[in-house]
Amino acid sequence: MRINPDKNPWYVIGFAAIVSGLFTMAIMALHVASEPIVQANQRLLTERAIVELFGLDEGRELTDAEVTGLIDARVAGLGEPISLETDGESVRILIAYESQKPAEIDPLDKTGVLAYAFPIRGVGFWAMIDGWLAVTPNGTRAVGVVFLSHQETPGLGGRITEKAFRSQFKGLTVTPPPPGMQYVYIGRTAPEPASPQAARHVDAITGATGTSTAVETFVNDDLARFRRIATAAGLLEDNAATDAPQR
Amino acid sequence: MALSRLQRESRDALTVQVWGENPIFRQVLGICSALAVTNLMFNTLLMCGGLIWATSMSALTISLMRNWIPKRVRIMVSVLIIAVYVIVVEIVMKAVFTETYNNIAAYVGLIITNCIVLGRLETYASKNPPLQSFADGLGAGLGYSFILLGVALIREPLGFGSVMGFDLFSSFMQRHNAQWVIMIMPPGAFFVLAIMVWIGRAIDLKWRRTQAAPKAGGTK
Repeated sequence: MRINPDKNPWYVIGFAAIVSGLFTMAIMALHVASEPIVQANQRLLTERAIVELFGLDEGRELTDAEVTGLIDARVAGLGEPISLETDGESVRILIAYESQKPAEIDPLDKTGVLAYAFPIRGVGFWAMIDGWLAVTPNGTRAVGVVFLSHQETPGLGGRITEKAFRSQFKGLTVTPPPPGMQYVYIGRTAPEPASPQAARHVDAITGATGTSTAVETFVNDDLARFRRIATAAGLLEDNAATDAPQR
Repeated sequence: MALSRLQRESRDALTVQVWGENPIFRQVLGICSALAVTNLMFNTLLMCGGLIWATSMSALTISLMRNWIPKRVRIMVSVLIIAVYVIVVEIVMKAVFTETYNNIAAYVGLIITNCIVLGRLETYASKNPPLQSFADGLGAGLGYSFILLGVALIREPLGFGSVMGFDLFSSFMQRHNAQWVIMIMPPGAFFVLAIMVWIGRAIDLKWRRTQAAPKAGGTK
């Protein structure tokens, strides 16, 4: 007896269930098979970003092995997280060393430390943006910034990942601002060179005001939070509100 | 050499989608992604690759299954199959082009809801043999890509001063703050796309007239 696919409800249910099951299994198998490659790529991308964040590459093109070698030798806190903790608040940090990192990591010991980095995270124009901001050991200047994940518009807000935008953070003053001012300004109009904002200014991305404003907001919030916890933990001095020379 | 009926039908299914019934400039379908990704050539290229794969493979699969798919669940099955091929694209892109995938992840998933794909499955693949359906899906994907790459080829140089990321005059544009912002933003694609549709249809109309002219002359 021939079954009419359109008239037999059991056929319809069975067909839908079998097709869904088969295709879902195929996708799961592919996902499981590709997971190690995807994770390895993602880890390498993060390591490359961290190497660039701290300037460990010194402008050179590095191989994958060199990147992993630099991370293993000179960066603490990426594999096993290190946190600064105080009165119910904590912030995760990465520590980059000028040469080989010590066997025992003490986050408050600044001997040989090149820079500290802390996570920056906030709602962008479309979704969450995650990254890291690195500062000098005395917390007066930014060393660099990286954005590891975002869903901003490609070619617009998505340009926060481009070097041209990120390199503006290098050397930026990040000391506690005078009353009425903020740590960092991301805007279209560059302030007068003599203005106190000039050393804290980053050019916004053309056509992506929403993303630029969002980045400005969470960078300021996370900088203030890091400084508050780092000062309470004894990593930074309370009186760092001056434009002290780098390091 | 004479083509077999199967070859002829497949060729016709492919060519008609690339030009005669081009999904973008004849049917004006799937233009959401045309607006979103065409400010950079490389992103456009990856998006087009994903759509060509998803359209042709889902058309082939639906055609192979067409005699067993109950009509009342056909849309569900079509969307499921499209989703499977798009997830394959996502997995491959994540594994091979991790950095670029991170930038355009939001749009790759949207291929599932692209009306070109579902449209070709509903109107052609569900009623025709596998090879012709595959050719039809491939043609629709190529037709879409052909227009999108054209739009990107205009928008990227005008907006960023580069092509495929290679610097043409981007440093000059940045130095003089001369980026043509509308070309970077989605509304820029409306203008470029409209002009391309206009030009494309004008060429098509002229071609059709020249094709019809000898016949008209012959009937005198």
